[in-house]
Amino acid sequence: MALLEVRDLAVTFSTANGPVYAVSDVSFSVERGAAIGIVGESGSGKSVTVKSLMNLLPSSAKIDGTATYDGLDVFNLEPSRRKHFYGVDVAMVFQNPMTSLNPVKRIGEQLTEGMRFHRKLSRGDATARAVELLDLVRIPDPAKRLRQYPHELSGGMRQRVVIAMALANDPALLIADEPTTALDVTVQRDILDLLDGLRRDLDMALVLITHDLGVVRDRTDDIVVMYGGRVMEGAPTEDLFANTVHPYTHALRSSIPNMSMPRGTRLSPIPGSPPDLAIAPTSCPFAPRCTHVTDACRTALPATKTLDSGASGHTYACVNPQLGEV
Amino acid sequence: MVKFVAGRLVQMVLVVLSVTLLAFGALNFLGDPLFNILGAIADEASGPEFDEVRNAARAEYNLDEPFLVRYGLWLSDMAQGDFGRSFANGTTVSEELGRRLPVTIQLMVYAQVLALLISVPWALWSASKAYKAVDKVSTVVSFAMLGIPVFALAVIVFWLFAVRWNIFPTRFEDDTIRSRLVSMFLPASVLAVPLIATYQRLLRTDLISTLQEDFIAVARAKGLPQWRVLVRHALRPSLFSMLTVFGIQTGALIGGSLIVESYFSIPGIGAGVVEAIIRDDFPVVLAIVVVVTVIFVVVNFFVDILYSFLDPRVQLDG
Repeated sequence: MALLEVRDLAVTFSTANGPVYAVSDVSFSVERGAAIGIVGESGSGKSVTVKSLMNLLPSSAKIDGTATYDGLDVFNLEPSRRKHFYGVDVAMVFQNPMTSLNPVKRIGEQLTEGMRFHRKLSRGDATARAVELLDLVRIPDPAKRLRQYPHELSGGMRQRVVIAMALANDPALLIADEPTTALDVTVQRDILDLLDGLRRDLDMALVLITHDLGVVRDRTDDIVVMYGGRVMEGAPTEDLFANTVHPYTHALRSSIPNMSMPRGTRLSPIPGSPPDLAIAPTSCPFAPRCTHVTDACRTALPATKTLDSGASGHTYACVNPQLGEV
Repeated sequence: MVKFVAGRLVQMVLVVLSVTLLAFGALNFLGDPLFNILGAIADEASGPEFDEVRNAARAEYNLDEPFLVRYGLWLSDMAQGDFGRSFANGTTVSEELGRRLPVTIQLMVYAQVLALLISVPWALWSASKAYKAVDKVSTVVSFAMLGIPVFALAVIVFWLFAVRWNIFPTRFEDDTIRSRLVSMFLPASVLAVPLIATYQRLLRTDLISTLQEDFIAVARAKGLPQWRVLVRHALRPSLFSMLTVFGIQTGALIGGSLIVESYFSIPGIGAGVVEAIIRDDFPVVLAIVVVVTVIFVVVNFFVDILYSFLDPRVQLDG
């Protein structure tokens, strides 16, 4: 059984201007110790998807569908179980390390807080563990860092602290929501490699959210590509790159620079802008921007189909799939 | 830090000096000081015995000196703790202040403590229920509290709780700490009402915006319960506006104490200044103005220092 199983997840926000369909029909699963990448551009619903799992959505959000963690119904946890679910079983790393830490609390206090609350560790034990954690995320001179405030640390350091904080109670599942988007390019790779290494060393499952296919290519077992709040294509990572089917995934791939491209190759941006989520989709959300659009794309939502009869676990939602190079 | 404190001290001295100059000037040019000291004797009565009285008064209050010299003499006496003699009853002003000032300071601290004890939990609660029905109701309540004038509230509260239901004494008693706390409860509450509403409004608004911050989501993702996120993570970064207004409200509180002390017959500087103004008792008025200015300036100085304790990113540079 998968560690996390999300089925037909839908998140709708009620706003003054009517409902916003942020996420619809999203399904994926994460095996124990595995890494999955959720890829999509801004507004594709990837962040909302994980925030719904972490109970971080505002009360205007209505959640449908199911999410099962280790047999538990995540959306209907019993209060006693819920208390030791967030921050213990599942932890999260956020996008912007510059704002993820409380500016008025010392690093040490923020690091030990979760351990002291969930595991009732003494101050001394929690501090010792905090030093270990900072060591684990390769922050030099951890004892000194514990006494510092967030503004005394660089962005990369802060993200390491946020990661250490998430690891405090040995989560079985770590969700990283665009963990490197706000960082300097030189630091991005270090943080991604750190996350990848930690996942292997700590035998922890990882959900890595990004807008950059290149980020997840070498660091995940499976990839889910989202657009307009829906899953466009999902497959084991190698298979997704070897047998890209969906025109949106193709478009994402050709908009990313690649070192093996011949000099002078132009990147092709995806024309148009993401769909208006306030309109309930009745057709493929990517149709208006798709270069392979057909009449059928505009009349009904494409059903989710499997590639090679499901043997590879490769699924896609498209009526005009494009196999191979386009 | 040292540079900041030194800079602020200079600034504070300048503020106090300008207030004293303005107050001393205003009171010296309003009518004839000699008349205020001696009443009708000052100019109407004639005869050598009255001349003697007049000359003695002139000498004691330096009335024959030019204005600036008088001001300088008054200032240097005051710096040595000598505020002069009350025109009205001849006691020294320092004595009067020594009696009245502690009472008023107690009343102000009492009012601020009550205001904080009520407004902070109230703001936390309404911020956690932001924009829901209970929050909207509490907004209405706090605006009503801001709208009631202190003098009206004093009358209503006194009549209800002291006269009608007899829960609190109608007279000020200060023989024990307990009786002081009990008999100051109504006046302190009257002073606290607008403060509670002001603090609640400000803190609620700041809390709501703090609760949108990423670090709050991080704290929630740690699995901390709502109250702990509010108190441990959201409260401290949200205290700035409230703290600023806390300092400024010290002035309003002193203004309110004029009414409240007079109404509840509390022998503090508020009631004292009202009596002194009615009697044109300039030395007392001046001394109280100076003391009130000093209190206000000192409280706001500590507010500035407190900012850097609230947020370690605040650097105190001159």
